Amino acid sequence: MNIKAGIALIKLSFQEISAYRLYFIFQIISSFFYTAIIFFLWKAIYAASGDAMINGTTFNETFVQLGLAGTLINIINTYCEWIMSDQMRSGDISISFTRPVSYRTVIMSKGLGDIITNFLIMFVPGFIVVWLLTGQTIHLGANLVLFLASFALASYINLLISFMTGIIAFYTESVWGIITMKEAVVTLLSGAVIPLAFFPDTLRTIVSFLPFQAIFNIPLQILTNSSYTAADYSRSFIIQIIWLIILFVLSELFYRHASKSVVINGG
Amino acid sequence: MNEIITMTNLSKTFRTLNRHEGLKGSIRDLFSRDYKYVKAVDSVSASIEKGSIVGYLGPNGAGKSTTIKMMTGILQPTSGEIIVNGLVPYRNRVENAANIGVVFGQRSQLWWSLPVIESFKVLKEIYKIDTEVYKSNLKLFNDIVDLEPLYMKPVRQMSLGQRTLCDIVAAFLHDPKIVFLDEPTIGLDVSMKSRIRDIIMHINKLKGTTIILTTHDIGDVEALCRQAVIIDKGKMVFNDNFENLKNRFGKYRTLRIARDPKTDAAMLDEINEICQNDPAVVLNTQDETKDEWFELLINEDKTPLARILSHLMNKYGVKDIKIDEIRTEDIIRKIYEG
Repeated sequence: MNIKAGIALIKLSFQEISAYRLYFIFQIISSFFYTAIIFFLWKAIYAASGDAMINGTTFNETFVQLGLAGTLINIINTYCEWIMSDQMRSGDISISFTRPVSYRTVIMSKGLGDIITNFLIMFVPGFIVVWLLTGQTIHLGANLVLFLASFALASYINLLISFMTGIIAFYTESVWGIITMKEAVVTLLSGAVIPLAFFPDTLRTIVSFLPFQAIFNIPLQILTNSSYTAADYSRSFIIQIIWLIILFVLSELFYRHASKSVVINGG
Repeated sequence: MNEIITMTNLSKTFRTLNRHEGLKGSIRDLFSRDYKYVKAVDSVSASIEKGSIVGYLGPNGAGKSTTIKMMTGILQPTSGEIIVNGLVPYRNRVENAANIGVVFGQRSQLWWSLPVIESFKVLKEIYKIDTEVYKSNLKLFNDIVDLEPLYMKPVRQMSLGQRTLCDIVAAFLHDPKIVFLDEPTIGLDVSMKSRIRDIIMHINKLKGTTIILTTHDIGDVEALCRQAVIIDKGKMVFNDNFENLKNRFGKYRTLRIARDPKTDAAMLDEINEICQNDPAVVLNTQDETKDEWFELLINEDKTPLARILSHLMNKYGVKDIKIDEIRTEDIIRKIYEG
């Protein structure tokens, strides 16, 4: 792998996003709106139930998770699979294939660049809003550092899933439906819209064997769960790393197979 | 070994679904197993010498781009062999890619929203170009086409000509051994075309870069290429020195005769008759009522032009004539139209 090229591509992706300055403002605004929706929705749910606790969690605990998840979704979504399917359909993909780097490096670097850029711009405002709205209940200490590490792993896992979804375009050319479905599955099963604690037991067991919880649930638990012990932290990281390795190998195999059957459109 | 590209019986077949019309047809297509096989490239054998500029010609849909995609390693041939630079491109795509540069005239390899210099900088990293080489190459291109004023301009704000110019520079930046130019002058004005030909010519002379040029502009070929390869419907129909192209299909000349209203109808009948009896004579007139000249394309290997001319002069008298060598464009059209 050509690391220098990867780094140059990551930088380029930052520059590309910054070329459209309004993008940042609208991303932050849309993030705030999402947080507001989550806030009022769950406020109403808790008010209707009449209990201070639902499924053993308080409103604050739930909102910290879901409010932050709203920001993290915006950060982590790179649209790499859309770019891939678009390039496949128009045939622009041939340009990447004439260069001495693998297409994988190109897409992964672009994705990482996007995530880093989004993180730098959106994380601090999103975090502060949730932190203030929940009366500063998030503990600010070592968990913040661990969260960052866990979120980095989560980003990469999500990127690998996106990449594999995009590869399907090599076979089918159009992946609109598949991407939409993937996004719905990831958002639901990762605990980004409904905390995993609210899932029925069977579903929760199934989810614990899937990679999606490693994207939002694990990093958010690390950040917000004050009862986490050293053992919990290490278990979380091990799960993430195992999924990272599995998905990395799978995507590599899938990519190799797909690039053999590639047909490039247009003259 | 002086050959940088060799193709032996190279073929590529695409499998496509036989599509049906209308909504009903679309639904049927979802379950259809009715495929058709299209031979885009059909046992092409050719070799290209190091340091040459080769025109790769053929009508739209002839299989040019498919061949180029196989040479660059994007597509795997269905059968046959291809060796570029001592490598099999589809097996060593990344290694092969380091030695080649590609320009697709209809696409851009530059990053759309950023100043073009940023694209160059990234390419420097991708191709691992030495800083000194990078600087001297940029200076070289700057000397030929005065590129520096464009450096800070975002690619999306460039005119087509400026963008193509930058794309070509980008393809040459890493001193590739072979550069593939797929319709680089498409949609460009005369002066931009000539600037682009200048770059290609200059770099080819200076660095001995082998250049494969696909184009529909015969002017490009005449200005640049020594060798021409022509393919049609996937099959190679010509592969020789460009100069031989003119002689290869017979010695053609065009004879133009000024029309005269008095003798016009009789002369037209006579010419039509000659054309019918002698396949070496073809009437090229586009519009029989408006053209001021009869244009006859004559294969002089078979029928001397002078015989036709004297025959018509004796019979009808002729006010004015013009005799031209055949244009390359006409020869190529003859080849395309079979």
